[in-house]
Parts: sequence; C-alpha cells; structure tokens
Amino acid sequence: MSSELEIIDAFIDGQRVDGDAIKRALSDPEGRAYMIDAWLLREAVQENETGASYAVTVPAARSAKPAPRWLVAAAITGSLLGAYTTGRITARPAPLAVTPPTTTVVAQPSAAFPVPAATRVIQLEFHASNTSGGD
Amino acid sequence: MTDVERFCAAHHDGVFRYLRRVVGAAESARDLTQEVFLRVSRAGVPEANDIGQRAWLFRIARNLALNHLRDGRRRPPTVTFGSAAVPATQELAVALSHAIDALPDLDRDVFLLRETAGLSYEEIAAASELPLESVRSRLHRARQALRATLGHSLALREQRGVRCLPAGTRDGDDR
Repeated sequence: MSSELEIIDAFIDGQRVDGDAIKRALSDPEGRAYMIDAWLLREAVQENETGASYAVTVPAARSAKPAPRWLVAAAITGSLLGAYTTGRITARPAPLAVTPPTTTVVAQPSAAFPVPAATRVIQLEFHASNTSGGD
Repeated sequence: MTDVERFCAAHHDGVFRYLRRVVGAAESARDLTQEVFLRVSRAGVPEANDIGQRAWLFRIARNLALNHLRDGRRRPPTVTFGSAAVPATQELAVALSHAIDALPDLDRDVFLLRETAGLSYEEIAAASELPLESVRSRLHRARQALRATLGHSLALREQRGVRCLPAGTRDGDDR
C-alpha cells in the first residue's frame, strides 16, 4: 500500500505518474483518504505561513483606536498658545539699523570721446495758431 | 533589472518561507534570507537550467539554516500567529507546528522544501544532496507522520472542504 500512496504523493506533487497506477491507488478508500489529507496538510502549511508572516509584517497594532478629536484639537491649540507666549516673552525690540557711511561717486564726463563741433544749427519756432487745436 | 536581481526577486518569498519554518523566528529568517541573497549577488547565478539554479539557491539557504541552528541558536518551540487566522485554524496551525518540529531532521527538511518552497523532487534531491528515491520516501514518511499526529484536526478541517493547491504558494495567492 505504501508504494501506492507514494504514487499519490507524486501525483499531488506534480510529478508524471502512470495513469493505471494512480487509478489503482485511488480505487482504494485509504488512497483517497490519503490524498485528501495531503491536500489538507498543504493548505494548513500555507495558512500557517500566512498567519506567521502576518504577525511579523504587521507590528501589533499599537493602538487600535485613534485619539479622540477633542484631544487632538486641544493638543494643537495648546502648542500654538505655548509657542505664541514663548515668542512674546523672548521677543526683543529690534536694534535700530545703523546705516553705514555712504560714499557718493560723481561720474565725471569722460574726455576720451570729445564731442564734435556742430555743423548746422536747426532752430525750431513754435507759434500759437487759431486754426489748430483738438477742440 | 539585472539577471541576479530578477533571480532574487523571483525566489525571495520562497526562501524566506522555507527559512521561516526551519529556524522558527521571523527575524532570524529575514537575516538569513538577506545573507542568502548577499551570497547570490557575490557569486552570481550559475549557468544552469532553472532546476539547477533553484537547487543551488536552496542549498545555500539550507546550509545557512543548518549552521544557524548548529551555532546554538535554537528554534523557538512554537510559532506565534497573528490575528488574521481564525481560532479553529489556529488550533490546527499550532498542532501542525509541533508536529513538524517533531519530524526527523531530514524528513522535515524534505517536507519543508516541498511544501513551503515548492521545490520539485529533483530540486530537493540536489539541494539536500539526497538520492531521488530517498526524497520520495522521506516526503511520504513525513506526510504519514503528520497525518497520524494531526488526524483529528485534519478530519475537522475536512468538514470545511478541500482545496487543490500547488505547493510553495501562500494561501490566498490564487484567490
């Protein structure tokens, strides 16, 4: 019987087995029961793995319930008030800004480029006209 | 992604699951898994077919696990379970852990290489340096022993129905 059960082992483990041999093995109630138990064992091992890795990868939820909202709001308000008060106490008037002495540099016209003498003088004359105007 | 990175990504979970069951503690299994892939990245994946590469990888994992256990860092007696498992399942899971721990070393190793890592008989034979026939008989013996120990729990479990699962996958992967 043991060799027939080994045929079932090979069959459930994806090995190529002789068709007649597996038929013979499964015609016996003990063979069928063995196959079912082998499947159940496999499933149990795999569930076992799932449970184990779950316990590892999900670190025991530190607190299942989140903090109540009023507590969060109180903590935020408290920290803001504390920061404001600390700021008020430790604040110093800003020292007057001392302006550094300034130096004025007057740019002198450069003599490197002499201005040429005028060759023609155009004189413009403006006369008030009664005919012109925008109104 | 390099070949080594692809190889590591493909087998990371299987190696961790195997080591997790062999050494017991998840933290140690995680360290050992890192060590396995550190060695893989140093040595490079050997030129071999897929069976040869997986066998080579699990031989490294197995040797590291055996050294770890030999160094006196003993396995914890039981595995702790998260709240994901329902109570009825937990009972079987704890009993299963004890039953696997009680198996002879080589039988346990062959069984875990098959059921947690999903190695084929040829890969198990190469990884654990055993003849193929020995793998078959040890696997059968381990199943028979577990069946004898867990008979009642398995009968209860059978009432929930049976699923046909491939070895070496996590429950839920195929849902």
